[in-house]
Amino acid sequence: MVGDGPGDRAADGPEAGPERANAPPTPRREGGLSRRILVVGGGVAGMTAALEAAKAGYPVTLVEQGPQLGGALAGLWKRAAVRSPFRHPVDTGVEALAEAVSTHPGVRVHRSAGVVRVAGAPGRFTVVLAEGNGARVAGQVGAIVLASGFRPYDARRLPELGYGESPDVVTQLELETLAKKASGGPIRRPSDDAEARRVVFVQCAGQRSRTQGHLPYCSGHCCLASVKQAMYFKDRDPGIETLVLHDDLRTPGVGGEDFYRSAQEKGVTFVRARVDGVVLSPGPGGPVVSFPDQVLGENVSVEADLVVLATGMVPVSGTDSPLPWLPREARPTGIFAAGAVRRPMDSSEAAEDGAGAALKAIQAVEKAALGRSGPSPFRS
Amino acid sequence: MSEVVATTRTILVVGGGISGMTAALEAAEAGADVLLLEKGASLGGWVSQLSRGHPTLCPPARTLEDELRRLGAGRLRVLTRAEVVRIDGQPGDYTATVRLAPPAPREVGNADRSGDPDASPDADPDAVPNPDTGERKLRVKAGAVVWATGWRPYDAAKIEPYGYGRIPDVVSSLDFARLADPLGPTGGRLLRPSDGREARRVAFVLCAGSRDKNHLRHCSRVCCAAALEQAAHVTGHLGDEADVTLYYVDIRVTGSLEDLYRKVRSDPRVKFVRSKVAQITRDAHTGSPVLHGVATEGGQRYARVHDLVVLAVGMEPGVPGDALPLRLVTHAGGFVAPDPANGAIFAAGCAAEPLDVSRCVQHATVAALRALQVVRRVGGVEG
Ligand SMILES: Cc1cc2nc3c(=O)[nH]c(=O)nc-3n(C[C@H](O)[C@H](O)[C@H](O)COP(=O)(O)OP(=O)(O)OC[C@H]3O[C@@H](n4cnc5c(N)ncnc54)[C@H](O)[C@@H]3O)c2cc1C
Ligand SMILES: Cc1cc2nc3c(=O)[nH]c(=O)nc-3n(C[C@H](O)[C@H](O)[C@H](O)COP(=O)(O)OP(=O)(O)OC[C@H]3O[C@@H](n4cnc5c(N)ncnc54)[C@H](O)[C@@H]3O)c2cc1C
Ligand code: SF4
Ligand code: SF4
Repeated sequence: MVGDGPGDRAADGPEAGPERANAPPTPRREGGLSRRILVVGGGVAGMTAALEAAKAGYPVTLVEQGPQLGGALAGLWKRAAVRSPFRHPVDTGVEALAEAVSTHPGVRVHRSAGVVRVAGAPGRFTVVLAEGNGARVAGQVGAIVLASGFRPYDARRLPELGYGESPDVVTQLELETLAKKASGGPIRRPSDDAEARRVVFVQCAGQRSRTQGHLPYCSGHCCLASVKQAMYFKDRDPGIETLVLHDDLRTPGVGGEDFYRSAQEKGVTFVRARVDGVVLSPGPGGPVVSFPDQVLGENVSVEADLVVLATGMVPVSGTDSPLPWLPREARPTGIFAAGAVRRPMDSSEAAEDGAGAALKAIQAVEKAALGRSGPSPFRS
Repeated sequence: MSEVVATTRTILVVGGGISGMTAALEAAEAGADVLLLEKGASLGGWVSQLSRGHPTLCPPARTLEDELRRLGAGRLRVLTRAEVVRIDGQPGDYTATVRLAPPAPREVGNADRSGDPDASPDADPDAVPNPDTGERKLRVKAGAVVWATGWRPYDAAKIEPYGYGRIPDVVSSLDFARLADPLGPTGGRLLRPSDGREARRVAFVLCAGSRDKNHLRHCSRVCCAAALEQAAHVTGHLGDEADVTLYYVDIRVTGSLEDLYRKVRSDPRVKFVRSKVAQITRDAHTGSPVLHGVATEGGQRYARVHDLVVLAVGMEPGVPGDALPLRLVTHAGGFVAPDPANGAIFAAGCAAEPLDVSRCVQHATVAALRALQVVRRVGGVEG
């Protein structure tokens, strides 16, 4: 038996451990069923699925293509508040989650790894994993959670918003990187490392739009993300100017409105406008954002040190089309999608979805053991 | 199987709306023993009342109920007219006090007597019906509780300037759902309450009570989508006669619901006015409601007459924070927070947050999992 993954020795399931691919991946015994759950993707959805399934007593194998667990959440400086009074950005909690997953005796983690083959049915999938070192391991699992997440929309499709034209026009995700680098200190603009003191957020960049190449849908989380990011600046120095240009500002739910209110109290300016364009200023200044001010009814231009584009999420589902989103249960049965691969969502919802998928996977394993199969009739 | 109603390995689900039904079913499908208690006479919660008016988000209540029936013979038992009024204990060992309304609770889909509280050794020994009300009390044990008591509409009459209750043709979105229901009192015709005339100029007032420090602080999440759907219903119903106006601050629909918004927005019979409506009065001559406010775009003051005004009322918790059967950590506004201090009481669906049906299903699945983890531990079941 080959034990490659870090958590390997701790948690051999009832089925055979990973075998060399060239050895036929035979089940241990005739009709042997596996209770092991394979989770593909180590973002917040996949990690939560893995941890929750393990907590319920099921052995888990988690495969992450990157060198680290965490997915997109690991790239964020903070996340929006998740509990009352919903006032300030909070830590993402991603390290603690990754730690809990990595150290849980029921979870085997394979980093820098991928799934190269899946065959079979609930209770008896055979899967082959490719490890970073080129090794292939095969084994049996009972059910699969697919949590491969999203990729950011390619902002190079938005030259009209100055992306690619000016280094100081960045996406929200790039701003998170800048904020992480600043680590609570001044957030600096890419062009010359000067502190950004006039920051403009452009909502719905390439989203909610029927223009060819844009996303027709609303990613749902990026209004909250801009509210949060504006606070990165205001919490550090209330003198920094932050302007959020939005059409509808979408912060629904139990705490979004309080978080938005808090940003207003911190002095973040919100203006209703769909931005026409972002151009380079002719002089030494930063990019210039122009928009029709809906309240004043006139065109306005503002110069910024940094322009942040709220670009959307595209699911990594293996197809190029962003719609339709993946349903919970894929064909064949026994494979359950979770997290941002299903539709754009924030990390709380991705965690919730991952936990839900863990339960569906547990059911598939249990049903296989009872000789039943097939999805519940009402699932979407 | 023993005859007891519940043991510490049972998952108790409180509330038989879409969230409670989902949680019960999901937990039972994973092999847990489940007892679902619903205070009303039937299952389905709000979804069964709203489903006809809201086809886009076609709720699966019917199928769920069939599924519950099928499972009824097994691990899942359902009692209706059973209201949980008190919970004591700790994770792994809770006792819920249940008020059983007369007539005797009906068990869905299970013909044997195992769910009949009278047959149960766990039933409170002095479960003698109250001579005045006919009510009885029952105590049940459970290892974990899914709290799925849902939501209730914010009382529109509390929004003083909107005249709900004073002006007959100002109705709530839930009143409208009844008007639009082909099986409802008007047979689906949009007859306005004051004089029974068919309403043609229909206004929807969004955020009625929501996003307002004096009422509900939060955004109720579903009312924009619901109003768009109701607006589409009016245009579909009245054709070219329709004259619909939406008064709104932000249209909050996410994901692919953008398509619904786009469709309604591009309909020439529907006007969008960005404005928080300040006041609704009654026209002295016609009796029709008049909306007053200032348009955000352009800043003009308006006073517009409509035949019927629909207030898109917000959601508040079905069981308010101070009426919960035990102390739970809640968000401001009384929704039950996910907090370790709540032990093995897991809120599901709109008891936790304003959610639409698909999010309720997603959320309730998680509550089922958490409850399952607890009763597995209690039962000493390992992986
Ligand atoms: C700029 C920005 C700001 C945000 N701010 C917030 C915020 O404030 N609060 C909040 O709650 N949320 C926020 N979010 C959203 C949050 O990042 C996502 O909800 C969350 O990361 C989704 O988690 P996921 O696990 O579904 O997907 P991902 O994070 O995308 O994780 C998927 C994982 O799967 C791996 N993977 C993909 N394919 C394979 C494969 N074939 N094999 C193996 N592994 C694979 C990937 O490497 C990745 O690690 C923000 C997002 C962005 C872009
Ligand atoms: C105007 C409006 C329109 C809507 N339209 C849509 C729509 O188009 N699409 C959509 O997806 N969603 C819509 N929704 C939201 C939808 O109604 C909710 O998502 C859904 O009803 C929530 O289900 P639930 O099970 O959480 O709560 P509920 O439906 O409220 O069910 C809770 C149940 O618990 C019971 N209960 C309460 N207390 C106790 C107790 N102590 N003991 C026992 N039982 C108890 C109640 O009797 C009830 O049956 C709309 C909401 C509003 C306000
Ligand atoms: S969440 Fe906000 S920024 Fe993102 S697409 Fe929706 S409306 Fe636009
Ligand atoms: S969903 Fe729309 S109508 Fe409802 S509170 Fe939020 S913004 Fe207002």
